[in-house]
Formats: sequence, C-alpha cells, structure tokens
Amino acid sequence: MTHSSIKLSKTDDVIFSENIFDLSLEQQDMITNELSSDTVTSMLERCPQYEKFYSSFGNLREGVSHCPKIPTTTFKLADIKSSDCGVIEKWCLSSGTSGLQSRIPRNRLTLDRLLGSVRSSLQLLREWHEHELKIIHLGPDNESAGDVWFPFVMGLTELLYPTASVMDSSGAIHLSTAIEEINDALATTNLHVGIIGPPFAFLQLCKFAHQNNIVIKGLDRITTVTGGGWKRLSGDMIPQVQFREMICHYLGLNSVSQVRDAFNQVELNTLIIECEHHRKHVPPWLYVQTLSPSDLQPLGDNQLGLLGYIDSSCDSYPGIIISDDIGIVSRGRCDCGRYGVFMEIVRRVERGFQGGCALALDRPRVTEGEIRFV
Amino acid sequence: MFSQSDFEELHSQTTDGRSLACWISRATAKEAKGVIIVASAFGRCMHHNSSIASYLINNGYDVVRYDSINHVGMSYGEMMNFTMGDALLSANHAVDLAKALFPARTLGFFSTSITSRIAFALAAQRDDIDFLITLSGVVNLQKTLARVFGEDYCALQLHDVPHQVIFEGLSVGAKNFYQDMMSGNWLSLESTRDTIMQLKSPMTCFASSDDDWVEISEVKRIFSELDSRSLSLIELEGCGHDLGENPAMARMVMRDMVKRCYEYCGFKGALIREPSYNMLLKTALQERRIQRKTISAEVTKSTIDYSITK
Ligand SMILES: [Zn+2]
Repeated sequence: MTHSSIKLSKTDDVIFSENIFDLSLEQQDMITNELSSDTVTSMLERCPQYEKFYSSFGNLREGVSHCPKIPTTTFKLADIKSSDCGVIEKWCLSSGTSGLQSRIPRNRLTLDRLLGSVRSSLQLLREWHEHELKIIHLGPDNESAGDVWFPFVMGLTELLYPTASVMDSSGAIHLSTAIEEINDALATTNLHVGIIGPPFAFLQLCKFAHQNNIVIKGLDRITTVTGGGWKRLSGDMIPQVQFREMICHYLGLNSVSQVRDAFNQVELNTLIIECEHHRKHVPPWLYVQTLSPSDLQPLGDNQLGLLGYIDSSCDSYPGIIISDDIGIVSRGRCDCGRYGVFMEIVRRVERGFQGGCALALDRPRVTEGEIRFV
Repeated sequence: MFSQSDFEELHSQTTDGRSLACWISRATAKEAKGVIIVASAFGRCMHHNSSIASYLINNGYDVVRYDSINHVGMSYGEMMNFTMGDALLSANHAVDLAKALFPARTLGFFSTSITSRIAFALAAQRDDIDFLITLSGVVNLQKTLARVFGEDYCALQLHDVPHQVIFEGLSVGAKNFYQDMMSGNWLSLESTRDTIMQLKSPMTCFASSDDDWVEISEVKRIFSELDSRSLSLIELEGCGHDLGENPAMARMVMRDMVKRCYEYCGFKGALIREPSYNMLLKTALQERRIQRKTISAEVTKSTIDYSITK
C-alpha cells in the first residue's frame, strides 16, 4: 500500500476539536497566546492595509494586548482583506442600524471555521443529534437572510437540524405560526425544541402569547437562544434577568438555564454563547481584552472598557478589532464547572469609535452612498 | 419523478420487491468522466452527502446516491429491521441500477464508516466495480459496535441481546441485526482482511488518526498486506470519525477524492473545480428540506421509542 497524510493548521485543529471548553485554563491560555500572536504576524504579512495601519503607530510594546486593533467602524469605510485568501465566497454585511454597513470578506476557510465555532458553542447547550431537535427560527431562512450577517449565522442551524423559519421575505415574523410550530412539536413528537432569534422577536412572541391567552408548556423540552441585539427597537430593551424570567414564564419553562444568549458581530467570526449559568465562554482561538476608551491602553481583567479581539478563525481579513461595545473580561472557574475566559457586554458606546480611520481614508471612493477602499 | 433540487429521484424495486430510493445527479460537464455511487453512512441519508455529490458532479461525474433498505431515509423499511445483509443487497441494487443507467462508464463506489465494511464485501463479490473509495471505513465491526454502544453485544448470546439499541437518537432493532451479523461473518478484523484480499478493484482509504470508533493501527495492519497498486491509505491527522464535524478537513478530503477519481478514470492531473460556497449551502439546504419532509414521521416515531427505552 502507499501511505500519505493530510494535516490541517494548528488553528483548525483547535477549532474543529471536540470538548474545547473542557480544557484547563492554562491549556486554553497557551492556545490563545500562540494562535493570536501567530495571527498578528500572519496578517502583517498578508494584509498590506493592516500592515500600514500597524506601522502608523510607530514603536510598539511587545505582545498581543498592545498590538493595534482596527476599529470596527473602519469596515464601513473600506474593504479590508488579506491579499492571498483566494476566492471571496461571501461579502457579509452588518444589519446597518445606523447608516453605513460593515462589509466583511469571507473565504471558504473562514466560513468553514465559522460553522466550526457554531458547532463547538452548541457544546455549551447540549449535544442533540439531528433527529432529536427541532428548531423554530424567529428570523428569515437562509435565502431571505441574504448577506446580512446575524440572520445568516442563525440560519446555518438548518444545516444541522430541521428548522422552521417564521420570518417572511418582507421581514414580518409570523407569531401565530411560531406558536403553532412550538405547540405542535411539543404535542406530537418527543423532540426537544430550540427557539432562536433576536431578543425583540422573543419579546413580541411573549406579548402575542399574553394578549391571546396562549399557554405553552415547554417544561424541560424547550431551549431558547437569543442573538443579534435589539437593533432599532432598543427602546424596548429589557434587562437580562427580567428578560429571561419573561421568556421562562410565557414558554412555561422549568428553569432560566434554558434561556441563553449568544453574541457575535459581523466583524467577528466566532459565536460566543452562554452556559447554563449565563456566562459567555470565550473559545481559546479568540483573544478578548478590554481597552481604555480614552487612550486605548489595555486594561486588566474585570475592568470595564472597550472590547478588543484577535479572532484567529479569520483567514480572509484581519479579525484584529476594537468593537463599539463596552464590556468586562474575566477568567477562572465558572459555576458550570468549566474553566476559561468569560466576557460580558454591558452597553454600546454612544457613537462608533472613530480613531484609526486614516486606514480607510487613504484613497476613498464614493460608490452608491458608501465609501469603499479601492 | 423529478424534485426541485438538481437530481432525479428514482424508486427502484429490488429482486424481492422492496423499494430502493435513489437520487441521480448528472455531471455538469458534457461528457461524464465516470459514475460514482455514494452510499450513505449508518444512520445518515442521501442529503448528508450533498457536498460530496456537488464536488463530483462539478468535476465531471454522474452520481448515484441511495438510502439502504430498512434504514433511515426514503427507501422501504425502518431502522428497527436493519441488517448488514439488507445493506449489502441495497448496495448491489444501486450498482446494478448505475450500470443500467450509465452503461460502459467507469464505475466507482464511495462509502463511509460501517457502509465501507459493506463496500469491501460488495467489491470482493463483483468484478464490475472499477474502484473503491472509503472514509472512516470500519475494519473491526465487533470492536466498533462495542465502542458505539458502550457494550459488546456481539459477545452475548441472542437471548441476552436487547430488543433495540439507540444510535444517535435512532432506534435500531438489535436482535435481527445480531442474527444477521453472526450468520454473515462480518464481525472480526480477520474477516475484513480475508474480504479485502479478494478485492478485484483498487481502493483509496481515508482513515482518521483520532477516530474513537476505528483504530487506525488495525486499519494499517490489515491494509499493509495489499500492494501499492491496489491500495492508497490517506491518514487524516488529528481528525475524528465523523468528517461532518470538520468541514475544513472534509473539503481537503473531497478535493483529494476528486483527484483519485481522475486517476482511476484516466484523467490524472485534470483541474479540480471547486463548487462555490453559496452553491454548496443552497444544495445542502434544499436537499435537507426534501429528505426531512419525507422522513419526519418515521423519526418522530423512533424518537418516542427512545424515551420509552430510557
Ligand atoms: Zn459556565
């Protein structure tokens, strides 16, 4: 016989390995340090735009915590991509709640790794087989989601499980259909029911159930995952604890541990999800830190600041970013028993952080109301 | 009957009158380079192979997929009556059908996991299969089943075997399966070695180094007896049994698989055309919707059985 082998990169070995959240904190830290440092080095070589941005900071202190990170606003103004990433399979768009949309180029490897991140984050829920779970998606199906990021990510669950999407192509959520689907699955099957969608859709679902005296007895058979934020309905925003209790009440759930939140944004290629104790566990291929909003100096654990990331799952663009979110990063042992790094989003900054836009304004070109980098 | 997706659905009767569901996809190229039969893994259906089928048709191959009889999927019967014998009969029927639909074409057979154990037997029996490609192929069925179910039922007497066992949430009738396996000489590593020594066609095997269900050392041990023209073993480093959980490795394997098909069909070095992500995603979703609609009733029943057993 002839014998040969196929090997993936270190990054892929981590992203596609099983039980990544069961590693010790030391093991996770080691992986994070190695991968994030390699990612910065690689992007300096592969992305001239990032290299130029990085160089503009002059002499820098060593280490990933100090390396310059691109404000996410920049992706609204320029197309930033690595030079050797092959075919861009999808230009992913933010939902654009405040004017311009971010445009993120993703190649096949980046998209495959995203699916890997969705799979591994599901380990924090429970691992259902395809025949054991039915998903009700309070959002659009893949075709209607198009290139808009969060609905696209949520819609990927249909690859894994039978999914009923109850938002039509006009953006209307059919609440009565959602309730029918939920109650039908509960009554006629023994499947577990996963309900996913943006928080404002859950609020509407609960209001609809309340107004129409609809009783849902989810008991231990429903798990909900919210994601995507409140968008333009931020006026309706409800604090997390009350929000969970509301869902628990109207869906008739046994425990708030069945109500989870997931976090992602178009510039980030990793899905971060809550464990049963409502802590968002950060997988080790993602480096996360907080930075001082005034001078962007790195802050320590448990200090409120702008969230910054180095996402090693990004191959086609530098996922080395500062977000518009204010949050806290902590580490240690969670009550769920898993060790790791945790992050919490506290609020968004009033206006997108604009520093570093020189990157985009180098040679701007106006196209149909958007500024692109050419 | 034609469906919305890019395949033709056929329901063909086996010699004993049971219906075998097949999806026939035609190569996008004018002249096909060959026909590949893609067998579903145990507990999986035709739609789980949508990406493999897309890679093959995009690179000039006609593809025949089928769901085994007495298995989850669109063919006759249920998992409660699954046997290796019926799986072999299904594979034989799929080859006959492919031969009838695409006469005089080079024919390859692709299989995964336990279905590869079927494929070894199939290719040892027939001389009209031109090449085999296997992924995570099971070589020691008794050991694999013991790992999957957490207990070595094959070591028990028939009366001690439970009525059913659960595989990935699906109920599988254990007594039928057991009796058929005992009479068919499927179980041991030695039986697999004896079978592959009789193979008439060359074979490429993709085997994962971290497969919990198939020990790569056993794969190497029995395959090392075959000469290099007959067998290429490709080790997937750091990978587990189910490539569905590792799309990055799955993509490398699909590219390599196309390359092997080219070599077996006399097109060595031809350009590998990669289907676009959007096309793969669209096809995968469409096929899942079609298949899930058909099998939801069956699965519902099986899942209820599961809770009773627990
Ligand atoms: Zn936790």
